[in-house]
Amino acid sequence: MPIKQVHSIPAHVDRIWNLAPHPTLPLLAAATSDKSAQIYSLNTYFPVAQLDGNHKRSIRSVSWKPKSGSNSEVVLATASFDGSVGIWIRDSERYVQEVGSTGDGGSIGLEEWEFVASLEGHENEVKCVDWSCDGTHLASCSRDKSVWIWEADEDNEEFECLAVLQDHTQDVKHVAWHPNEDLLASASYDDTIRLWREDDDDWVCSGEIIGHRSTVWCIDFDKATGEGEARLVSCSADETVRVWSRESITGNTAHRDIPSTFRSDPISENWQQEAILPQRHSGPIYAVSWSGQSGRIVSVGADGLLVVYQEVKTGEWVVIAEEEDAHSVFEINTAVWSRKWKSTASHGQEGDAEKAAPNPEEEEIIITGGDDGNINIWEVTFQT
Amino acid sequence: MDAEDDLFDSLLTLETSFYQQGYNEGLNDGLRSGTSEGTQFGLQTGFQRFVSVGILQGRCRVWKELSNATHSSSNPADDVVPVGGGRSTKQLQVLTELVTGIPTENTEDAVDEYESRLKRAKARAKVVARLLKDPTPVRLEEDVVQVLGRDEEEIIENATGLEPVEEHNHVHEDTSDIRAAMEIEIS
Repeated sequence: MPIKQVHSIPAHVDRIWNLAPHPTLPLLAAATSDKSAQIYSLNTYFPVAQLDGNHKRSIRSVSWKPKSGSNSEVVLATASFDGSVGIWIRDSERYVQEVGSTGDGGSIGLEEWEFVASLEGHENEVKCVDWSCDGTHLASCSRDKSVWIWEADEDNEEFECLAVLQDHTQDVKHVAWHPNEDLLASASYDDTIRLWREDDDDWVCSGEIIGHRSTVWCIDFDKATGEGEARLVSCSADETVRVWSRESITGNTAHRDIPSTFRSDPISENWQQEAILPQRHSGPIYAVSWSGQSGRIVSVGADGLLVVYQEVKTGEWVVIAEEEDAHSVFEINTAVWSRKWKSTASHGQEGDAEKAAPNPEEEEIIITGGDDGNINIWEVTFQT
Repeated sequence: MDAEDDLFDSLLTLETSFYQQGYNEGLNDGLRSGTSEGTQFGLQTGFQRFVSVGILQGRCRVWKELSNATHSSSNPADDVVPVGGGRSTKQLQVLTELVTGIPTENTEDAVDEYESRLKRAKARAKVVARLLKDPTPVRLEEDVVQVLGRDEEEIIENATGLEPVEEHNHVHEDTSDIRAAMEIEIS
């Protein structure tokens, strides 16, 4: 079996809703049902911080702000069922050493992170939050059918709401930004995925992807697309994982003085289904993640199955690994790819000499969280 | 002879003639009450729909005056709402255009246009109110567009005087979706 569990972190909570690895540091954030976000080191797998005391209900989603330019702060956004989004900052002066440089994470004690802002406005549970690739915009979506776009100031304390987007007709489950364009995608209980972009200072729905026959739970963009290209993968309660690609963008020819309400040529993108991945799941698929390192896709769902897919040819995918009951009898809520930080303590077999030692930079792990309250780390072993 | 025949002919069609009489009575009654009920309904719907538009137009005017006042006022001690900058002006402009000139005919197209414009206008009103830091909820006829903070629970004038419903007790439309029901997590 080409996939193995290398570690399991017991988070001591009822349920892990969401996981997010930091883009550059060995930190993992976990959204949990006990109203707190837990931060773990990906070097030691020990807890680093517990962000609690501010949300009144479960945290449903977490997202790290990408570092930009001179700003070296570590910032996390937490989306909660209490209708608010929290912004937390790691006090970089207090915790000078990078996480994981100490051998024994346990004896240090947990860090105290600062709660700097609460973004209110949604009418009910916030389901997901995501930062744009350059960290300027933050998107949040909620059961109130709307997607909100926020902009932060320098200190991450004042957030301005730029847009309230009401086009979905039902609960919006997930939002995700394109890796380099200012393009946002949202997935909803209304079976559609919508694309949003800024059209002359105004955020509008520039495209709609229809095809799934049930709630779309999660979406993720392909991180390896070229200039002007875009592909995304989506998973749904209809038990399929689909890849969509953008065929064209039209519109937005120069009508500068006419406000967008009356523009006859709105910007619009045309997305088509590129592939339906091989059927493996026998229940709603809750999370899907597209690796920026290897281009592989992982999907997890209510059936406890973890599946890894690889693209053999554009539009053609095969299953390269499967794991049943990845969280024993429990449903799996989230799965993310991450580069491998923790190097294996010992390479057991002596006969490894002829096999080139895998470059730790290129190795990656899958991290999953489920209803058992555990965070599991998986490795897809390389075929030689 | 003919006159006598005519006199009693009606006895042969008693049933149909009574039926016809009843039918006509019913039809006329229906026409009358239908017209009055329809007029009532039309007036009610028209009022509800366009009073919301009026409310938004009113808010726009106030916001516009507010941002003009702040621009021309050089006294920082003035008790006016600080403007969110050029962005708020633009948003306010779009909002004003959205709520101006909404067609009032009762055609399919006009109704669709009204509905789409009002939906967009409500969302944009939220944005503008936040940009201008105006905490008063935009109170429309059928619901309240919540703005800053969710503590503004003076929403529905409840005639019974009961406390507003706790936010945990949501009746979720997709409770048939077990997952979604779990996501609500009645605490």
